[in-house]
Amino acid sequence: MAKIMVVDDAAFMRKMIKEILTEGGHEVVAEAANGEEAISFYKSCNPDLITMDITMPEMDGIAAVKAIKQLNSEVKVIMCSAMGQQGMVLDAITAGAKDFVVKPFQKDRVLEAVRKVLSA
Amino acid sequence: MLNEYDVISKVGQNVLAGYLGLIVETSELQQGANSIESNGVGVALQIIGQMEGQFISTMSTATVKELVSRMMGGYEVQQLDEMCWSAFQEFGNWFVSGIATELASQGIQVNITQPLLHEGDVTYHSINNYTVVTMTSEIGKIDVYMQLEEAQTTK
Repeated sequence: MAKIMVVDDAAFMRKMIKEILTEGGHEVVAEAANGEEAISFYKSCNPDLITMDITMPEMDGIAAVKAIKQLNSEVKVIMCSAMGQQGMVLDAITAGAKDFVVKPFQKDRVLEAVRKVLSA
Repeated sequence: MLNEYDVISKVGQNVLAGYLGLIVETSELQQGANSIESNGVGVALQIIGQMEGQFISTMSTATVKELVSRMMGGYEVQQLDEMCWSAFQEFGNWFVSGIATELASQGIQVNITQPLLHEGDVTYHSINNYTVVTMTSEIGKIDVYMQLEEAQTTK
């Protein structure tokens, strides 16, 4: 079981991802609605893993991953975005994400990504 | 040349059939339209980048309740609450992000804006015609309107 922070500006997506992770035996320790909140909550919650949306107000997910990497270079992040084009995936991986899950996704795809990233 | 009907149909099938398990028939209004009337609900997003334009999807309140219910794993929707509206925004986001991914595969780089929702009587007017695609399934009729043109800066 891992402590996970979910970052997405859509309340529906946070709820959906939280349900998937909880059913998979994980604990969602924080939910953030933008990149700035993600950085703040990361400092206070120190999660084992982060699921991160890309397109968000205030600060997008790519910028947030870069900032959190400055705090912990070993941080484990899975990007969860509907924008699945190759350039976006490359930007995310370059910023420091370990995997990229395209929305809409099936439960198994999310849990498999979490399992792989945690065991890497 | 970009075939907007093909792009909308492919992405619509991916989202509605591939993810939500609906059997969908698509048809294109050949004449297009430069105004859109809706008395149900709708979601609108802008497409920006190498091509620019709008995406608007409209449907009845009954259909959006069924759509959101499916997105929530079958949870029965009686009233459209905040979580339902968030889900409907996400439907628009999934659809237009899918279109952006399709465009990227054809070498066209675009981004999208935050989804805007409407409810009740709305009429959109435009100088240019929209490509109009109707997707019919067991949850009802979903109309998709899209217009895209090459961005001024890249001409």
